[in-house]
Amino acid sequence: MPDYVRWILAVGILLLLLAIFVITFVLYKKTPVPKGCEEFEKPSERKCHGCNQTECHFNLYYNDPVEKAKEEFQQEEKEQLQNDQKGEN
Amino acid sequence: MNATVPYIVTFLLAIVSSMLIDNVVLSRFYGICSFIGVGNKPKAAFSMGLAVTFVTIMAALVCWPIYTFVLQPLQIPFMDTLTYILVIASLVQIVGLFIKKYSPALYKAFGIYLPLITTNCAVLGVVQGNTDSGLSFGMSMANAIGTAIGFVLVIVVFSFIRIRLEEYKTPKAFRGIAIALITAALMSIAFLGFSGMVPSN
Repeated sequence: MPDYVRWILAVGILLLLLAIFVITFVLYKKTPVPKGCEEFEKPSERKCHGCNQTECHFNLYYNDPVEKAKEEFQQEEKEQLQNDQKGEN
Repeated sequence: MNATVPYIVTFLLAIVSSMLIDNVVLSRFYGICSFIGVGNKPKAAFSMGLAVTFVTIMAALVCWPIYTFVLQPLQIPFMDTLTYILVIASLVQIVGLFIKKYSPALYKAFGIYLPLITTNCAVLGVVQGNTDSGLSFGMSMANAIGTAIGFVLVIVVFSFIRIRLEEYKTPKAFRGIAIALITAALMSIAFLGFSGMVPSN
């Protein structure tokens, strides 16, 4: 088989698969969520805060790692101060 | 009958081999992000594992025939990786679509994890490994089933270990991902003990 035919076939197959992916993606987005599962689609502070599922794109929105590190540092400083005060007394 | 029994034994040994000896996370180091990211929730870990199992088996079922009956005869085997990525992504969308429409119970169990599995390299790794190793269809399916069960096993065990880790005061520098990676390394060493269990011919 000549090289150019193989390349045309390769590009054709790629475009076909891309088209299938786009169609399935659109159909998936258009399909409504089952009754009773609407809550699963919506993230919230209550559900997402403290979650370790770092792949989820809502994770960073509800769990800013810099803010989290700051809070932990401030908490430890407070505890250290309290321990020092107890030691002095 | 005489030929079937050894084949069934080979099939089962292939599953055990992929599950324990050549574990996808601890030996081949695929799917690490979902392994670490699932955290200390065994229920979420099990749901994630179920979703990965489903997608891995379906992907192996679809990709092997595409490689054998489309890419190889057309002399374009170099298209395998791109093809598998698109096939897996489309498959995930199709599976999600059916679950959303016809099975609310399954959607509640693992529907939200399906889009996360599109980027899970364990699925692509299994499918690519099947064709690169020249496995037959039966052995490819055994590899896929064993890999998926191995993934579920490891991810659930790891989530239970992380619950125990949180009860202890870890040094500040090691908290979070650091201690999780050390734990994963120790688990990997433990799983090395399974090597040699299934003799290779």
